Parts: sequence; C-alpha cells; structure tokens
Amino acid sequence: MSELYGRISEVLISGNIEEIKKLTQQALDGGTQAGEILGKGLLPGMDIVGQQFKACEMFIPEVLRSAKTMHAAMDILRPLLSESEMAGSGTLIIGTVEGDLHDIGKNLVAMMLEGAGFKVVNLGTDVKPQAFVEAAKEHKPNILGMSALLTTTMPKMGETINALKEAGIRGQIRVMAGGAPVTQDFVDEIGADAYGSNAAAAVEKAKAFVGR
Amino acid sequence: MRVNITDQRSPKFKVLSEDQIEMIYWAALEVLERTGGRVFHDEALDLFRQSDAVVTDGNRVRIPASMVERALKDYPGKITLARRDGKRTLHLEKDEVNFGTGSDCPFIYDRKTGQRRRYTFNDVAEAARIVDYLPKFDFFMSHGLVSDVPNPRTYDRHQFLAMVSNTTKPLILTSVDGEGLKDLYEMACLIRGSEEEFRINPLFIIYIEPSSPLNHTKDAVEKLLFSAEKGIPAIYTPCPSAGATAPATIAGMLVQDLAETFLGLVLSNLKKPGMPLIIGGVQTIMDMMTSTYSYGAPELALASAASTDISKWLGLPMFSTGGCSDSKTVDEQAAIEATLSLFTAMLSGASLIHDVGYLDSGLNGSLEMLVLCDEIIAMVKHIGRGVRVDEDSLALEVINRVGPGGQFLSEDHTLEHYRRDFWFPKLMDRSNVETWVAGGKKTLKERVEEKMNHILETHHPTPIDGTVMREMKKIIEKADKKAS
Amino acid sequence: MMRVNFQASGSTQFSVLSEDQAESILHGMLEVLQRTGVAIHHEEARSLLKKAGAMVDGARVYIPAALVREALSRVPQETVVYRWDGSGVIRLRKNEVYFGPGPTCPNFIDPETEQRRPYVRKDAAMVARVCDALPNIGFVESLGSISDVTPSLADTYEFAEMITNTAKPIVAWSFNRDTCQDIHRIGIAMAGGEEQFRRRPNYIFYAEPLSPLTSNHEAMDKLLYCAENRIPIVYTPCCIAGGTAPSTFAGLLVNALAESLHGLVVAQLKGKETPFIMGGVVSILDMQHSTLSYGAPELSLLSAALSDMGRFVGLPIWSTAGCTDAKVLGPQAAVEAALSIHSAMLSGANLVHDVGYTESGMTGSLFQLVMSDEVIGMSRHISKGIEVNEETLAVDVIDRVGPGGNFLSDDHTMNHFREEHWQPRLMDRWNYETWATQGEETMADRIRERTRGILATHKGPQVSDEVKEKIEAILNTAEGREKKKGKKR
Repeated sequence: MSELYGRISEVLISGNIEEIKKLTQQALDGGTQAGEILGKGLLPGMDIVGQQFKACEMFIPEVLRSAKTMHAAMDILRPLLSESEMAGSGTLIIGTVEGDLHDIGKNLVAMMLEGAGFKVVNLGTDVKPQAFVEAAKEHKPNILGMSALLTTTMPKMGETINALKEAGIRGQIRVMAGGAPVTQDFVDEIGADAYGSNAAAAVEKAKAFVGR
Repeated sequence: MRVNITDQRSPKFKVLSEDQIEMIYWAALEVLERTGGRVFHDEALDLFRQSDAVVTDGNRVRIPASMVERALKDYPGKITLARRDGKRTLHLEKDEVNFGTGSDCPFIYDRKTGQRRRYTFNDVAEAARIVDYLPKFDFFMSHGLVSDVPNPRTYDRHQFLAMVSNTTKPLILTSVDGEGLKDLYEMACLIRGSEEEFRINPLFIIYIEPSSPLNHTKDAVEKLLFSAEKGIPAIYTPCPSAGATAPATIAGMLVQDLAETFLGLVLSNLKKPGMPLIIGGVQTIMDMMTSTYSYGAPELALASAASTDISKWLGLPMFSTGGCSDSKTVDEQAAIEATLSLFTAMLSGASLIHDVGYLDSGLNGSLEMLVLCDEIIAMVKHIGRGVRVDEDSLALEVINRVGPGGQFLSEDHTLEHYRRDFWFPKLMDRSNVETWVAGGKKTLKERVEEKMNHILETHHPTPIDGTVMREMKKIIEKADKKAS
Repeated sequence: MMRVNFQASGSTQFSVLSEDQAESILHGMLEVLQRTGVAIHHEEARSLLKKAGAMVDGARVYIPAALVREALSRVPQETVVYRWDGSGVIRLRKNEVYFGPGPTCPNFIDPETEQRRPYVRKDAAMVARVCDALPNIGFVESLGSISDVTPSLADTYEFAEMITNTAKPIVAWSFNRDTCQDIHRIGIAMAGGEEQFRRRPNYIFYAEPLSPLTSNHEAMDKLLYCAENRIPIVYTPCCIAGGTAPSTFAGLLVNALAESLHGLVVAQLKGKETPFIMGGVVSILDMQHSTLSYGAPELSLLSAALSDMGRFVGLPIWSTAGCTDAKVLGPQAAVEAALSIHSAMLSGANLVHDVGYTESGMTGSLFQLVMSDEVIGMSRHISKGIEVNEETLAVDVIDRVGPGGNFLSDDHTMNHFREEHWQPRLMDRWNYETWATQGEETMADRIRERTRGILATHKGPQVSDEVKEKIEAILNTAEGREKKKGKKR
C-alpha cells in the first residue's frame, strides 16, 4: 500500500498529470479511501515539493505543474471526500485590495496554496473591505489573505481588518498580508496575524495556522 | 581628399534582423485581431464601437491590422521636451540616448541609521537635487514615492512639487488617475505660462501603465485619453514579466507588449490623432526561483534592446531601462547589473533609459546608486563615441617620426589630443597600491558618499517663482480637500 | 506556417569600425611597415625577411605590402586546440569567444586570508583548478609569477603545475627559447608524442613584440621556435595610448597591427600555415598616475576596434577583459570587469585574457576571476540574441491565456523558461526580508564562498603516473641546464 502512496507522491513531484489520474483511479478501484489517498499520497508529495522549492531545487513552473497535477487528482477525489476531510486541509480566501489591480503575485500564492491542499477562494483584484467580509461569512475560511502592490492602496488592508472586527468575525479568522511594499512592521501596525514575505513563506505560515 | 566613404561615428549594434522585427510585428497584429484586449472605460469602448474595431462580451476589443497601420502614420518620430526654464534639452529622436531615474520606489536606507524606511517628500527633493547636478542625467522621474502626505490618493501632486522645485530638468511623472493627471497638467501649465506653451515645449511626459496581459484599466485609459486631447507626451507601457504576465519566451513577451501598446496607440488616435507617444517600458522575466520581477536579469537588457530595434523600425521613440539592480545594496552585483543594462541600452540607441539608480528590484531608490551610475554612464557614453579614423588620428607622420623604440609622451600630437580623446574618471581610482594605502584605502563606496553629501550640501537649483508656487499649492490643497 | 527568404540575427550584431575605416587603418599599417619599418633584433628573422624581399638596414627592416598580403592569405582561418584529456576543444575561428585569466602578476590575493602576497608555485595549481571548475572560462593562464622556484624556470614550473590540474588549453609564455622548449616538451608529453601534438595541439604560446614597432631577440626567437613546431602562437603587443603608441586611437590601432603582423610574416616564412593570433592589450596611459589603465572604457573601445580589424584581415583575435584598476573587490572592480567583458563578447574576440587582473595588472585575484565568470554568463546570454519562430512568438499561448490570465502554470512556460532565462549563481534576487533573514550577504560574500568551495572540492582531470614522471624529468633537466648557465656567469 505504501508503495502506491510512494508512487503517487513521485508522480506528483514530477508533475505527470495523465499518470496521476490513472493512479488515483487505480487506488480508488482497489478499495483505498479517498481521504487516505489525499493524506498519505498527495499531501506528503506536495510537502516534498515545498521542501525542494525552499532548497532551490525546484523552480516555480515545476512547483505549479505539481500543483496542477494535485488539482487533477483532487478533481477525482473531491466528490468522495467527506466535509471534515475537505475542511481538514484548510480553507483560505485571497484577494488584492481595493484600488489595486496587480494580481500575479497573489495568483502565484493562491496556486501554491491549492497545491498544498488548501481550498482557495480567489476573489480577484480591487476587492473592497466589505467584499472580503461577505466572502468570509460565506466560505468560513481559516485564513484571509490580502495582497497589495501599490503603496497607495495599503491602507485598505487596515480597513479590511476593521471591517472584519465590525462584522464580529475577526477572531475566527487568521489574517495574512503580503506584497512588495508590505513589511513586517506594517503588518504589526494593522494588527494582521502574519506577513507573507514570499510565496513559499506564505504557504508555510498558512500550513502552520491550520496545524500542518 | 577621399570620397565615397562611410564612417561609423559610433559603434553599431542591434539584436534583431528586419525579418525578425516584421515577424514580431505581424504576430502582434494577429494578437490584436484574434485576441484583442479588455478595455475598462466607457468612452474608449464607444470610440472603438464607432470605428472598424469589434467590441464583444461587453469590453473585449479586437482590432483589424489596417487600423494599426493607419494610426502609426500619425505619430511623431521626434518629441522634444524642455526644462523648467524653457531650454529644449531632451530630444527623443532615433538613436539619441537620454538617461534618467525611475519612479515611486517605496523604500530608502536612512543615511544616519542605515535602516530601511519609507520614502518622504524630503527624500524625493534630495534625489531631484542630485539628479539636477549629475551631468549624465537628462531627465528626472521621482525615484522615490512620497509617503508622508495627508492622503495617499493625492500623493502625486505633492510628489510633483518635490520634483519640480528641486530640478530644472525635464520630468517624467506618474499620476494616481485621470484627476491626478489633470492637476499635474494644470500645475505644469502654470509654470509654462499657458496650455499652448506646454504643448510646444512640454515639461513632462506622463507614464501610463496598462495591465499585462491585455487589460486596459480605467485609470490607464482615462490618462491616455486626456493626454491625447491635450497633446501631453505619454508613455503607454505595460510591464510584462516573461513567464508570469507574458509568455516565457522573450519573442512572445515582445509580441504581447506590442499588442498592448498598439491598442493604446489606436485608441488615442481615435480620440485625437498625433499625440506624442512613446513606447517601450520595463520588459523582463519573473525569476522562477524567487518570483521576483527581475531588474538585474540579462533578459531585461536583451529584451529592451530588441524592443528598441522594433521601435526604431516603427519610427517611434523608445522608453528603455537600465542602471538598475536586484541587489539590496550597492555591491558588486548592483554594479554589474547596472553596467550591463546601461551599456546595452546605450548601444541599442534608446531615447529614454530609465530606472537608473534602482536597487532591490525597484523597491529601493538609492541616492548612492545615482552617483555611481553617473560615472558608469560617462564610461559607457565614452565607448559610444567610437573611433575616429582620419589623417590626423591615423598619425602616420607621428609614428614615422617617433620610430621603433621611441615614445609618444612628449609628442605635441599627444598633448593636443589626449584631453579630447581620453576619459577622466571622477570616482574610479587608478592610483597604485602604495598611494591608495597612504590615502587611507578609500573604497568606491566612500568616494560615492563623499560626492553625494557634497552635492546635497552645495547644490540648489533655481527656485520657482513665488506666484507660480502659490498657485500650484492651491491646486494641491484643493485636491487634498476633495480626497478627504 | 512556412516562411521563405527569412534572415534571422543569430546573435547580437556589433561593430566599432566601418569597412572603410578598417581599410584606412590597414593601409596605414602597410604604409608604416614599408616606410617606417620595424626594429627586429634577430639575425635569422631579418635574413628570412631579406630573402623574401624586405629591405634590411642594420636592425631596421622595411616590409613590403605584398609580403603581408601573402602571409595573410596563407595563415589558417580556423585552428582547433584540444584538451589533452580528450574532453573537448576550443576553436579559434571568427566570432567564437573564449575567456581566460592573464599571466605574470607579481602579487596574488590569498583566497583564504585575503592578503596581498607574492605568488608561489602552489598558486598556479590553484588557479588552474578554479579555471577548470568555472563554466565560462575556456583557457588558462596563471594570474601570477612564481617566486619560490629557480627564477629562470618560473615559466616552466607554472606550466607544469597548470597543465596537470586542468585539461583546458593553457596559453603559455616563457623567458626565452630554452624554457619555450621545456614547455613544449611538457605539452608533447601530455599529448602523447610529437606527432600527436602536431595533429592535436593542446596549448597556445604567447610572445610579445615591444611597442612601438620592435621585436627583441627573445620574442623573435620564441616566435621562430613556435613556427618550427607548429605551435599556435599569439604574437601581440601592449599598446599604451600616449605612451608607447599614439594617443589617437586610429594611430594606436595602426601600430598594434604592425607589431603583430610583422610577426605573422616571419612566422609564415619560417613555418607555412603556423596558426597565428593577433590582437593585444590596448588601452591608455592614465595621465595622472602614469599607469596603463586596465579599467578605462578606452580599453573596451580599443579592444573592440582591434577585433573588427582582426575580422577584416582574417585572423583570430587576442583581447582583454575582466580586469580592473581597483585594489580590492567592490563596485569599481565590478563595473570595470562588466564593461570590458560585455564589450569583448559583443565584439566577437576569440581569446579574451586578463580575467582576474586587479590593481592594473599588479595583483591576480581568484575573486575577480570567479566574479567575472558570472558576468561572462550574463553577457553571453545577451549576445545570444532572441529566437523568433512560431513557438516563441506564442500567439496561441497569448490567446489561450487571454486578458487578465497568467502564464505561470502554462505548459509553454514550463517548456521554455529553462532555456530562455539565464540562471544566476552569484546574483541574489530574493526580496529584502528574505535577504535580511539570510544574513544580508553582499555579492563579495558569495564570491568568496564559491571560490573557497571550488578550492575545497573540485577535482581536475587525472594525470597518469607515467606522464607525471616525464614532467619531473623535464623539470630536472631544465634545472641542470640553468645551474650550468648560472656557473658560467
């Protein structure tokens, strides 16, 4: 059994989408639980990807290819996973703040988080504080991520946190902020929970937040 | 007397053959016809609907090649800017190179504490004074972003004040939105005396950035339309990153970049033909290890030079990039990356080479780096002077007179020529090790700092007329009030 | 999609001189050789020239243009030099660029202590190992002058140390014909015999005329030895504008050519089709410090112009780059190296030496060499130009991704980013926070780390015991000879 999990991990790391579909279906047909495939095959594989990326042994396109591969496997597993199994990996909403249309960095983080097994709701760009609140109420995420590239839009991050407070849900969510002009000092100032200095760091902190 | 001679008065350089340029051009036209772009501006969409362009899905605009080719005929291949005092010094013409800073870096290292902190009005003023002094800088972009303002939505007006009060050199500005541009324009017209004077002797170029890939945002379009109306020279340029917001291949990035630019060109042409338009922008890769938009990558130098080849073929001035670095400090990496990009940009003949002095991938506007780059530009330009070949410089008589085993040091010919032909360093040290040690082993960093401090202590450009200043401040106050 | 009549730029295109300008300089040189002549302090060389039609008056030789043209028409257009372990070759042919260090610096920066000290025998092995490890270094020189061996054999010991630590071709120099022969014997030993060497030469020899317009006895002697033995030879001057050459650049180029090409004529008269490389160290006399400046932009400009001349007359070119007037690693060393390296690359010079020279050539530095290796990689990537074809134009990909999309996870990106994007080894592209967390290293820190890493771990090629013994024997014989010479005096 562990050989199969090992194989799944391998295929995930090398980013072979056709192969992962085969193996996932194979495992299901063989009677393995979807949750087991996720927890013992896919997630450990993505952990290794994360480590290799951190050690500068893998490049971003390769990491994303692995994430795509993960996605393909998840497409097969999702209908078979229980609510708790899905939630266990963590849910995250992410967006670029109001007035800012830059999203490549944010999308990179979103893709890597998905690759790491998170359910990611990407709100896009120019997201008003109230829109973040509405999305939080709807999806009940563990984490809310905000991104900004323009210094002039950074104040919106503080406004969004205030909006969460006013809605009475600040305590239920961890807030992470990132983007080129953002710093640890700024993140402390506005009362966010974490600063994502780069994509890999953001994923690591997100995982820590959900106890992984 | 010799006839039928061709001389190179400067080194010749290019990246792309004409055939390659054409392939990129036609591919860009293909993209415009097939994929088009999204335009988030009502007036612009109306203009497109009334033309031969095809608007679908609300805001998807596809443009036939003929519209681009017709529009291209209307754009000037020559744009000239004037300084605050009216002197026309910035000539954007084919192969005429000009150097200047970039805009809006959020951070600077504090000179006293060495800590990284946010840029202030005063910092931009200092950057302006330094650039005003340094002879190899031809124009000024803010370098830093003024963060100590009452409202971030009107920082651009304050930033303009910091800039225009502290340098007389022509400017390139950024604005928050169309309203911001209007205010900047109004203030500049006060300085010029009238809108007509501004039109014929523009003081600034406005920098406008649509969003790669293929998105033309409301802010970008409204600034473009206003510029077209008033004849404000504008740069309409996306900042694609190969592999992230543009294809990973440089050719593909150039295709997309051109398609985005052409949409802006066609649009401004529909509004009012003939505005002074500059193409180009920062073209580089996303570094696939760090996800950084890389200012030091050799691909930046290469893509910019190739873009310049294309711009010359199109007959439009080019906004290129150089003198910048991913390094966080003024070290060997900063020096190498800046040198390679400055040298390549100069050789390519780009009209405006900007972002000189950028550290930390465009997040840090370093004053020390400005001073260092002034020296690098001087070296690079000296190579750009090429080799003069004529009877006087061949010096066959002198060679014959000196003969085998002789020396040229005491020759009149040497005395006459070396001052003109040699470059004299201001910052590079050529002393022998004994002299250097005796002088305290000064590093380049120390010489740069010394020079920077000297400039800041002693150089102050002519102040702006009091009445004009008062009127400008009124405009700024009004904008601040409106924003709050 | 098939396009016909398509001409692509396969690289960047760069030149300093037009054809007319190059022709003027060539004619100027021919006039100088004919009218002013050169001083050749070597009887055999003079007599060869006289027999061929030159006019000789004491040491002064006046060389007619016809002799030069004939020599140019006979010299090989392409020469292959072989790594002695069979692992590769370097091709001396138009526009193929290789970089390497330079010789004879009196001082050396110790890579461990960073102290400036005299150069010793073990340094030659170190430099060769580092050259062997660096991907962008194609040939090898010592970066020093050995001070702890028999002084008159410093050249031979240097060669022996280097050739046993790398198979990349060495550019050797020697004091005189005797040590030139010692070195050649070592080269033959590495090749496996004289015939083998002739078929597959594994090193290049460097000798230097004197500016202006002079060849001293030793230089000519060595040139003749190389011509006899078909050893590829670099015969190039060091022209200092305002000092040993005219201060005007066209005049300097005239002299530089005359100084190389009279050597070419002699070499071709002695040994038909001897591979010959022209060029030189061309820069200005800094008028404040009266030194030859290795960091001046004029060095880049003059070198590039000399490259144009080499291409114009059809000879491979010896050029100069990666050097500095700075006394220590820092932004000045970096600017000066970057400028000259990029210039040399763009100009298509064939053997670009002095990479690693600091302090205007007084001190050799492995740090400068390692830093320059990175720069060469960047410069090469720029000079490769841009591939334009259906795949790279990516019109389908742009359509697929569409407005507002991203290319990061697209297959096209995956397939192309490795080739189109240069990978840095020593450049830091992390954001500020990450860089600060990692210790705020400067590039100098990374350069030192890499240098020391190479020295600690890099293994060069294997040399058989048999060959090692042969080399020992050659060195011993040489020692014996030099001792005798010493007694004679």
